[in-house]
Amino acid sequence: MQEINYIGEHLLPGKLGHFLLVLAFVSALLSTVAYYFATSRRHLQQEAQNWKKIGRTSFLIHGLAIFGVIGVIFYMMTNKFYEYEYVWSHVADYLPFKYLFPAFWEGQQGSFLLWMFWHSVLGLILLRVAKEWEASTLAVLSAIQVFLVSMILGIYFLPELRLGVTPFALLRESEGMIGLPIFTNANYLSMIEGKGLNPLLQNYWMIIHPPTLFLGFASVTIPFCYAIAGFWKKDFTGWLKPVLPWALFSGAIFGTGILMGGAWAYEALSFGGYWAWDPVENASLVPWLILIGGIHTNLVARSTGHSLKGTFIFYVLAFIFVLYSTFLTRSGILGDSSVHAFTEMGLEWQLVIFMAAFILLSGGLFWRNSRFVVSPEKEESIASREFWMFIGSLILLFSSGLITFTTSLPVINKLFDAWGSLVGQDMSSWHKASPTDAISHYNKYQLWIAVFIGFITGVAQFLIYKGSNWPNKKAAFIRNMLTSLGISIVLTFLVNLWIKADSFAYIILLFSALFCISANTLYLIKFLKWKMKAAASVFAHLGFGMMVIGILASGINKNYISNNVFAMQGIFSQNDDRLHKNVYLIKGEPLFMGGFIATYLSDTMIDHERTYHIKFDRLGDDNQSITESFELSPYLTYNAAKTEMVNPNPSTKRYLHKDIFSHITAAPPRHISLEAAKEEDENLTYKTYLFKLGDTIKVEDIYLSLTQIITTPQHKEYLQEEGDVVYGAEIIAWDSASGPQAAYPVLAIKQQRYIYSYFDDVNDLGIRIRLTEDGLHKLYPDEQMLSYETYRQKLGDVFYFDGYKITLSGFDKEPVHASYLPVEGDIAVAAILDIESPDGKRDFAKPIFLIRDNRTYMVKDFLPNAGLTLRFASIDPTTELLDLMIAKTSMESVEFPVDIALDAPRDDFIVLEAIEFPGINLFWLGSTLMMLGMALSMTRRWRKI
Amino acid sequence: MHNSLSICNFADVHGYSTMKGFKKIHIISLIMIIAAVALLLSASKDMSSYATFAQAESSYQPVKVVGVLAKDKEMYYEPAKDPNYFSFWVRDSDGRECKVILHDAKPQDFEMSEQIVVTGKMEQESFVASDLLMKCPSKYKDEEISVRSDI
Repeated sequence: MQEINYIGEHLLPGKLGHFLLVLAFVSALLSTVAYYFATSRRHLQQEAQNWKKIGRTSFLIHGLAIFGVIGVIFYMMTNKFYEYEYVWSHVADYLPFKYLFPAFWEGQQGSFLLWMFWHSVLGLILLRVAKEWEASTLAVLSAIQVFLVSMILGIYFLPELRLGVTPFALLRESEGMIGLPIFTNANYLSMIEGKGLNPLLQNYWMIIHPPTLFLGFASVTIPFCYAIAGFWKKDFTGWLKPVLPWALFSGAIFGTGILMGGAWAYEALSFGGYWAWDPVENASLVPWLILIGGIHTNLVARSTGHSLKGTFIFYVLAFIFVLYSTFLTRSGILGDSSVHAFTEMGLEWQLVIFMAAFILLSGGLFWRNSRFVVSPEKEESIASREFWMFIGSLILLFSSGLITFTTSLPVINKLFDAWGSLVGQDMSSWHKASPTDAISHYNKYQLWIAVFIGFITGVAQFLIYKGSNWPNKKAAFIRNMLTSLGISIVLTFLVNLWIKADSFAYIILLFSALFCISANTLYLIKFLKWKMKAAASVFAHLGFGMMVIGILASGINKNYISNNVFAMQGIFSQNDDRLHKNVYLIKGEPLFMGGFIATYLSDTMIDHERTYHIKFDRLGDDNQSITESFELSPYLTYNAAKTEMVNPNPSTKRYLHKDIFSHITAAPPRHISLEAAKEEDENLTYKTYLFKLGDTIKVEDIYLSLTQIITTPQHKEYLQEEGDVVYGAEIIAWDSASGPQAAYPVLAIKQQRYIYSYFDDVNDLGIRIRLTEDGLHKLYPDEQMLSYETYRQKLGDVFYFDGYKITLSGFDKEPVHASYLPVEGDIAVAAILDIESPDGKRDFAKPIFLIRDNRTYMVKDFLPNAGLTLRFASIDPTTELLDLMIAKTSMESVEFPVDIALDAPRDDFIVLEAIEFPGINLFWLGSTLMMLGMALSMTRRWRKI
Repeated sequence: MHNSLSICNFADVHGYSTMKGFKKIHIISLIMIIAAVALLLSASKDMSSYATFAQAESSYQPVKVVGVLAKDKEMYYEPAKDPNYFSFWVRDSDGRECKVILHDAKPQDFEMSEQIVVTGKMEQESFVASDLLMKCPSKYKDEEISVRSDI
């Protein structure tokens, strides 16, 4: 094949990027080896020191290489180098700069890089602060980086064996592109445009959520590194202190990342909630839960020496589950069960090997070295804090196990298949699908987990480590427990007046959450005496209790107010207890729903958003009086070309105690896509009817009357530009059932070539009206048919023409006129003529006198309703006298063609879903408090290192 | 040196636990594991199974049917009549086409779906879905090269 010399390609950045990737890989490998020897030969001080230096330098180079790779990709993206597949897939010309970040981490390679970026940043910090733990922890971290870089290396070892998928592949050489005819053109680059970022992801959540979540993922690695390091060096207790701030940091930031995902789902997407137990959501929740368990066993181990092995297991599992979550979301295995998994990239086996390697490493290390762990002789007493903390951690692990089991069904099915293929049997009958009602499935089990956690956090606060001096403290403990129980029983009763939980399980959960709140508050007052510094754990646990109440309130009482019971009666058969989530609203027609009168007022299109304004009037108990009014404005966003709607966005009315959430679930097809609009137009049967001005004609049962021709018409979709030739009409329609309604269609010719017809509807009658180009010709009379009369006038003169009183009231030196396009050097002046018709109607005309290139021109003006044509023929500069020419056409005889379709679908409706979420702010407040508690604890312990 | 000391400790600890048997924590862990297994067994009753329409007919339990949208058949959504009624036809893996009713608004981009998973039960001749999951070929990711419009 002939080599083509492609024009305009930038091959250097790709080569540089690839080199940096290889460098990152090799340096991570070298860093792993060097730090490994620095650890294993630590007894040989000088040698270990040398290894450490090599490790340090390699890791530094590794970090710089990773930053470099990211820099190169950003450089390629900002410059829109579409010759690269990754740039072409995620960027487009129109994409604003701020969306380059989401475009970068939208793809698998970018998100791996984001992860590695945080690993590098955390690693560099670790390198500075870890001291005697530097070599051992960074050996582990570097090894992890080796695996991660390999995911995007894109190097073939054998013809079939490719390691990773590179972000630097050229478009013309990437899969599915090779051999496409466009690439036979040497200048193909000038012809292509990038695909751009999925519009669903073009929002600020996509800018802040992934970096936070990936920092969360990356931060889980550090406790893992410490745990491995501790067991590797058989220094089983030394790592417990330095790891703690890292684990707390991870708990706070990872939790925040997960919460941001929930907030995104709730705020910007139309999922109708903040948590849906989607497998992808679960995949990030599970490692977080395990990590939180680990933090608690870590505290226990630090204070008592118990739970040391437990801490190792928890931190290792948290990291392994991060890898498992990566596997679930990136292997395509969740395709059937999740809405937002990545698409496959052929990395499944590499991910499995990644996971297996670290399971084997941790498992082997534990198996070999755990017998050297020294446990305290005395076992935990039931009256000790560590006992309950450990139980709590076990419960979190238990919860993770349950969630993982259901989330992993597709994996289990695959394992059955693998077994089946071994024994030669079809195992598809063993396949299980996710629960029919996933949310209630998860809630059912996790509810009891939350109950236990709520009680345990309350009890454990009042116990002390090792249960020392228990006999003397017993009485005070019992007193405090009874006080907390008493308060929480009263509170349960009071709060339940609001929540109205009716099932036993919900009431128990409410009670446990309130017990958690009461006990922690009591502890803050009595023991800590409001010392905020020491109150980190109190805040975190208070937050948990509040969060649970928020979940209960918003979950139990989630209420579809878009449930029009009255309208539904009669339509459905007898005992129909289905949830009717959506209501149909017609513009301007109030509808009763769920204690409100909802009125769809209007819709406006601005840029890429069409906003629907809906007024809500809350009715009082008598269902008559309006107690409150507000407006919600859910909107649809469109793609860059405005040809398609991409995302319905909710609008929420916020109160302290609840949210009212609304979004559009269906809109007229022509609001959804241009294609649907075209299809709709093609399916309409327009017929042309001829109207004389003022005539009424009857079409089937509908009366139509052309009452006015408008030369300066307005239409919501028509944007007046200079040089437009435009006219509009007012047509009144009615039938025996409904009163007269006006429609205002508009026709415009832009740049003297493009014809735009803006139709208007009378939705109640199902008619659509549009104007035609013919009408324009009818409107402007044939010059040869006109007989002009000339009047010589000067400023202020009044004269009469055919009963019209005409006043020359002024001049316009910078005239604007539909059929006049100014050119530089023009001398143009318009005469302003005030015109009063015989029946007293006022109007004005502005004919223009123009000198261009030493020749004179007239730009006539026309008043269609009067039928007057006016010209400004000449001006005498000395006498200031003007020659004005006026002619009249009889408009009565002109027949305007108007296209009318009688089968037009409504385009003035929306289908709305509106949900009330009581107490949702407690969820946000509680969960934020939890994260703040951890962050506070982290900063305290960080200083102590 | 270090090693021998540890082994010594190990022996102590080991002796201690065999003497006293299991610790409370161990017992509780064991109970939890048993509880977890029990819960998982009971949870597996929640799990649905994949079925064809023919199997769905004979099942009293809700099932999941994986299929594709039968694009030549009618897709019905008339919000003016009922905004909570949407029906369409799905072809399952046996090639059987069945009408599916969803009591909700028509999902966005429904026509684009490549694969559909419906959860629900057969009621008379049609499959009434309580949940629907679509797999879209992702309209923004088609393997076509968009050529600049101004050329």
